[in-house]
Amino acid sequence: MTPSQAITVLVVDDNPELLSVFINGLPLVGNFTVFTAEDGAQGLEACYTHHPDCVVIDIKMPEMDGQQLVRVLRGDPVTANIPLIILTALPQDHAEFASFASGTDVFVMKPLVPRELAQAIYLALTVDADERAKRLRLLVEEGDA
Amino acid sequence: MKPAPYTLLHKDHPYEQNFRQAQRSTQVVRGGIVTLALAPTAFAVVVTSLFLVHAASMHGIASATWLPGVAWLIALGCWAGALPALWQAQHLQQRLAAMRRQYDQAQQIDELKDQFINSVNHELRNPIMAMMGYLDIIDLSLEQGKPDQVPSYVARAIGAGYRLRELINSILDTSRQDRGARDFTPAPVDVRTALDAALILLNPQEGGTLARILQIQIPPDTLIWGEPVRLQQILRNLLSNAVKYSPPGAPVEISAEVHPALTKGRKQQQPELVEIVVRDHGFGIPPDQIPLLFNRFVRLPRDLASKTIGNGLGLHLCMVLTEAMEGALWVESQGIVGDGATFHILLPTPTGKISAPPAAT
Repeated sequence: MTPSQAITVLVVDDNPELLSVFINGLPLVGNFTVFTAEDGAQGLEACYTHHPDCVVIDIKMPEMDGQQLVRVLRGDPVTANIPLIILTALPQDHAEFASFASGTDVFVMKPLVPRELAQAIYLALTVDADERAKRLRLLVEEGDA
Repeated sequence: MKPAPYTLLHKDHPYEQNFRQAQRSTQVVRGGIVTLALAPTAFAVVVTSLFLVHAASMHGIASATWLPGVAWLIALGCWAGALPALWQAQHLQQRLAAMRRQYDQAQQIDELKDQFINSVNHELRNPIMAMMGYLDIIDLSLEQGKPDQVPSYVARAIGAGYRLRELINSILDTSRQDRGARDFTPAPVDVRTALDAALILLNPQEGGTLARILQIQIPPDTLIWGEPVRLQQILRNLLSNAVKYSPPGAPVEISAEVHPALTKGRKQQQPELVEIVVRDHGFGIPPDQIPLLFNRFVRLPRDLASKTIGNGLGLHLCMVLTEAMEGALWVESQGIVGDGATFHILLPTPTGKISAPPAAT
């Protein structure tokens, strides 16, 4: 499924080489417009500037890391419903992150190629606000149990 | 928090539970032995007291003079039996304490292994991802008939592959150098010459080293007793770190000083030594993280989450090579940004060497 309207994606990662891969790769996979940021603080600023359809966030970054960025984005009504994808390098990052997160829609493990990231973006776009709220409730209930 | 999936030893490990049980049992046994020996002693004391009271009231020696004697004999007998048992319990306690220490060491190694996996995982995944990413882009470009950019993507994929190779080689090299560190014939080494070689070896990509102000204060003909390549590697790693972990333009100072031999009477307390100091004005090292710094694969949490590339092996290698040359290496830092860190290397001079130099030919 490739929507006809351009999907704006913001990729936040501290590695310029990976940003370059996604800037060049995603437009070849589908109708993507890619913006990038090199740390959490820049990513937050870019969210307000570009209003992306989806944000891809690396978990380990200097300044504001991925976890902090997700919490800030989810805490602001303006950005609370942007689909979020987390890039992780370690399996336990996923577990740790899920334990106190935060409405992340999709977790993907590095290394991944532009085609795989595009699939993850399409998947994240299918999660609507109700589904996100339901997931968060489940997460809280799991935590209480 | 759940332990990392790689962690073999953790707080709920059966070893930990068995150890605690064994320690409790030893304490109970020791307490039991002491109680068993103390009871007859208390009995003997009571009997003696009663006898003395009775004797005092009778104003004479009572007829049952043997009674306290027998009570004390029983008490002494119990102590004679209890003391070896007590000694055994003490010995067991000491062995348990030794096991505890070994267990703690194993746990520390386990934590280091986790740090290594974390660090290497983080560092290896990025070049792999770049390489795979560019190959995917090449494939997509060719599929869509857009070959113009392909040569540039091929070059970038190759570049990522080279970085990956460099990283893997550095890990393997360290392991090899670790084993062969002491395998050299010592000779006099000029510190300034070794520094110049180290500067040439420094990768210009490592933070634009050549643009740094390098303040060198090394008196001419300052010699150490060691091996030139090892000293070059130590200086290269320390300088590389000083540059990597300080902001662009921050100066790096390197100095060397000869400490004369210290003697008291006819005894030499300390041989002649050279102290080399490498000081940066960078981010510093939090004091609580200094003790772990020279272990293998250790990277500061701050650096793991930064762009700074590293494998946590450089300082470990510096320590191994310094110790191989009978020297010492340590660092001083308050962890204050701008104050940086100061690394000290203490090495013997040719006159202060431990073993005699080979005869000149």
